[in-house]
Amino acid sequence: MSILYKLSMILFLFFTTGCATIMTIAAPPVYETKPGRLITGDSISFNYSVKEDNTYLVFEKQPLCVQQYEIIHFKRKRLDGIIPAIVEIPFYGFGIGDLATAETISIASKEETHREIKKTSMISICGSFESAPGEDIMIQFADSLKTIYIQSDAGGKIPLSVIRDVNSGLLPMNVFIITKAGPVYIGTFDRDVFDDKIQVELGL
Amino acid sequence: MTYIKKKLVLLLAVIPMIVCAVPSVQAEFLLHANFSSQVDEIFGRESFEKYMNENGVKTIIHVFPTDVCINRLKNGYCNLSISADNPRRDGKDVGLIAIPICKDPLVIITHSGNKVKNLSLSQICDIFSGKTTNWKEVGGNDIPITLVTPSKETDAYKNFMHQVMGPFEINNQLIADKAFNVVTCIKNIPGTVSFIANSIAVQYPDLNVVRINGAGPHDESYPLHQVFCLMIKKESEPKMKNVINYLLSDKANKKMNTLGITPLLR
Repeated sequence: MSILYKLSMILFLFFTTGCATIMTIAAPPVYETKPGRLITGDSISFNYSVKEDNTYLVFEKQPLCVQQYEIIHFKRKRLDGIIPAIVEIPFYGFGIGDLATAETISIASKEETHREIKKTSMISICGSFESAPGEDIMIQFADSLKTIYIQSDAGGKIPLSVIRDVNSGLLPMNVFIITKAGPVYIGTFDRDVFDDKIQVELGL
Repeated sequence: MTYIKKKLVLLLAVIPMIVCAVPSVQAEFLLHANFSSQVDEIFGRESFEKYMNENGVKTIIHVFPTDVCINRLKNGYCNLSISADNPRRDGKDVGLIAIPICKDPLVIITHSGNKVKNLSLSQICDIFSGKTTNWKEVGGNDIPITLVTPSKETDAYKNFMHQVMGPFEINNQLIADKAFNVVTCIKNIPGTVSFIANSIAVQYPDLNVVRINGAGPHDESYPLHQVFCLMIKKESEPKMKNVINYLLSDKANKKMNTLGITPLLR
C-alpha cells in the first residue's frame, strides 16, 4: 500500500474514533421517570368491629389508609453517535471502546430532578384495632323494626342495660356505626351469642 | 423397563414442582344475589347490577321465589338474598342474618270505575275470603267481586295472608304470576280487586288505590306494609359488609325514595 493511502487511513481513524463519546457529551438531556417506593397515606376511614364483653358491647376501630406511590423524575445525557461507533468497530475495534465510554458518560450524567407522589385506588390497613369512643351507634331490632341511637362512652362501650330498658327480648339486633357516608353495618347479635347471665340482664 | 421407570419417576418429580411454581391466583369477589320476583319488579335487576358494578362489585343476579332464594343462600349457591318475606316467621332463618332495609305499603287496588274508595281491614278480609261477593255490600255498584291474586309463593301473598287474612284462606279466582299481569286484569276487568306493592302501583296512575280505615298508603296509620330484608349467612365473607354498606348509602336511600319506598336505616 502507498504511504499516502496509509496516511489517509490513519487520519480517518484519528478523526472518526470517539464520535459517540463526543456526541453524547454534546447531546441534550432526556427526562425519564422510574417507580419509587410505596407509601402509606393518611387515614381516610375505619374498619369497625363489635363484640360482647360481659354486660357491654365493646366497639373498636382500625384505621384504613389510601396507598400512595412515588415517581422519581430524573434527567441524563442522551446516548448519541451509535451508528458512527458501529462503523468504527471493524477498524481494530475502536467503536466498542467508544460506545462503552459514551454509555458511561450517559449513566454518570444521571441527575434526579424531583419526586412526585400519586395516590392509588388501593386502601390498606394501617394500624391496629383501638377502642372507638364517642361513635354514633344505631341498633336495629330486626323483628320489631325499632331503632335506637346511642353513643359509645370513653372506653368505646355501651351497656347492654340500655338495650334492655328500650326493648326486652327482641333479639336479633343489627348494629351499625353512623358515619358521614351513612350507616356502616358492623354485626348482628342473636340469642346464641349471649350466655344465660346476659340473657337475664337483657330480660330475654 | 428400567428406562421407562426412570422417565416416570422424573415426571412425578417434575410435575409437583411445576404446580407449586405456578403462582396462586386469588379469586375476585363475586356477588351472587337472589331476588324474589317482587324485588326484581320494584328495584330492577339491571339497575341493581349497574349500581354494584359502579361500586366495583361484580354482580350476578337470579330471580326465584323467596323460599328458593333462602334455600339457595343456606346451601351456598348465592351470598345475598333480598325479599319481602320474613323467614323468622316460619323459623327458616337458622344460620342467616336478616337486615331490614326499607318498607313499602301493600295497597288494595280496584278497577278505575269502582266507586268504593275506603274499606276497613275486616271488610277486606271478607272480600278476599269470599264472604262478600258483590261490591254493593260495601257501598259500591251492583257488580260481582272478582279477585285477582298473585301466586301463593310470592312475598305479597304471604304478607297479605299474615297481616289481613289471619286464619282465613284467600278465595283464589284469578291468579297472576307477575305484578304487571295483576295490573292488566284490574285495568281491564270491571269489579276486580287485588293487592300489590305501592311502589309498583304508583307506576300506574289510573289505578284506584283504596284507603284502609281512612288512611292512605303514605299515612302513618296505614296498617299494611311489606318490609324488604337483606339476607346473608352468619359466616359471610368480610367483603359482604361492604356490599351491605353500598345498599345503605345515601345514594341507595335516594333511589328508594324516588320509588316511594321508606328507607329504614338513615
